[in-house]
Amino acid sequence: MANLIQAVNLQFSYRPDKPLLKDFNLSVQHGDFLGLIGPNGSGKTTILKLLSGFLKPFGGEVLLNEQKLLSMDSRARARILAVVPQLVTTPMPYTVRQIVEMGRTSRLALFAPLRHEDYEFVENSLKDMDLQSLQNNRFNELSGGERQRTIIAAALAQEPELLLLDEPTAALDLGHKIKLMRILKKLQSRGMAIMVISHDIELMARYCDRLTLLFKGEVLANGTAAEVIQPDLIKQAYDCDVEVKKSSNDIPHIIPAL
Amino acid sequence: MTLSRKETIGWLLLPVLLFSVIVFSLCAGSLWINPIELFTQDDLKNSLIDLRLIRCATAFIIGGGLAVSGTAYQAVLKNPLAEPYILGISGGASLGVALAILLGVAAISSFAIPLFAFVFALIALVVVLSISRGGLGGVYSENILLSGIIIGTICSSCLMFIISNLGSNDLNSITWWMLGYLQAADMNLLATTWIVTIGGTIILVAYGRHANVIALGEEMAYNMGISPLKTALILLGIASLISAVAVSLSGIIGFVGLIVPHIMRQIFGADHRKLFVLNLFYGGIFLLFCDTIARSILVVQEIPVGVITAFVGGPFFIWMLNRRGRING
Repeated sequence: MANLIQAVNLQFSYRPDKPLLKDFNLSVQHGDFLGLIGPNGSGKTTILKLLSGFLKPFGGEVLLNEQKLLSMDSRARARILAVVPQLVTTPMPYTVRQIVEMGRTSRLALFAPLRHEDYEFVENSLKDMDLQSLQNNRFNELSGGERQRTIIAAALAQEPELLLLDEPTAALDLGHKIKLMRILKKLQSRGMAIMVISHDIELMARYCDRLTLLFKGEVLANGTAAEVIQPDLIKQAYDCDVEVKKSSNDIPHIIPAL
Repeated sequence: MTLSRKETIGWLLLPVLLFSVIVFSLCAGSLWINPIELFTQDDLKNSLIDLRLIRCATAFIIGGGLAVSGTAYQAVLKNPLAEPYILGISGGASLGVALAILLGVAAISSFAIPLFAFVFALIALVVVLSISRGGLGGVYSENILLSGIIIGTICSSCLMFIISNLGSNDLNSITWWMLGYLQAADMNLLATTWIVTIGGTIILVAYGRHANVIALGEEMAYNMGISPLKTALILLGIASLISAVAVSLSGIIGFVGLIVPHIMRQIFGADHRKLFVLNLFYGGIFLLFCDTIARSILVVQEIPVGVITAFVGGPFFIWMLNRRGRING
């Protein structure tokens, strides 16, 4: 199957004397559900920003639908690729609905109002994220989890083929965490490719088809949850001792050492 | 789409307030004219009404322009305290105007003054953004305000230096202009201000959806498919042009771009497609009202309108700053 997005030999650093990524490669195909895990400072968010094109690599390139990402028209890019960043703040008193409607920006001309189909996508996104009752509330007055769900709903309203999420479950309670992961699974079954960054390794192991473990800007392991979540790999990446047990359906569980 | 109660009242009040303030401004002043007499054929009163009409047209477009440009700065810089006066844009533009007068280019064409004002407004904006290193994000927004105040102060000092070298004949008129003077003498400049402000507002409305997205931050704007840099340049460029022509015509009038957009957002929400239009009208109404008060409050002499807006805007700015401090922890 053709790659939907592909990072080819990416090189990047924030400081010239300290390269973060050296010849980094990664690909996501249509219908993939990839989890990107790794310790703090391993380059997860940087990779996400390079894949979205918000950061420009010093070397290598990102291909989206086999086109060079950085030479693509920004509206065309946003119709394929949606991103949910870690933290969004605004001083403006936007309502939840207004922010979700902004997700349709790449599909509208300058003066054009929202069309019937746009409203449908907005309604579905609000419904998927359980935000219908909050749609007229001000974004600034919501809890961290509700804000996170609003931004995810706006990304869903973009109607993308690929969704990149940076720590989407960090501010969510257990119920909404599971609900979000189920929704992502449902979107995957409709053909959407998904890449999630998270520190919640067990949640990733439960829902992602493939995990990539990063360490100091390099891929330490890549494969199924059972292949990646190994005590020695966890020790190497996180510098801690753990025991790994598997449930009946072969999902690994991490038990911290006492 | 259903409107909230506040919003419905706000829209319904707009034509009523506009009409009332225009009539009030035509009637009030050192000589009170009965509203019924506005349409009678009295030569003396007619020439007074003509003068007041020009003043009314000036106050309305300046107030509207300042409120519209404040709205654009606040969206791009993610800072509700940003406005032409506080950002040093008005200071830069006024320095441009003073230089145009000093160098004698103002006499060549009436477009020379707004052109100089625009160039210096842009220079001030670029310097403020460079000093604050904030780019377009909100992380360094306090730095942007401080840089704006510093640049505004430097521009004022340069302006003082220029003024100190002027003859006493020019001194009185330039002092009035600096404090905000709305009796336009140059009809070409007044027409230019109307064209630039209305045209600029139409372009801003076209980019209203993009202004909404950019106020979520540079990264969100990029992810949603707009070019943050291009959009910011368009919005800031137009806002600076509108501020510059306003300063060329009427000097520095502070805080209009702070007070009016804030109240508009509280009543009508933060959709910039609506906000730009509403600020044009309500900004115009606000300054027209302030100006009418400024020329009616003392019988013998009028007060510069900049004094009135500063009296209202200064405490308002402090209140907003304190409120922000409380919200941010």
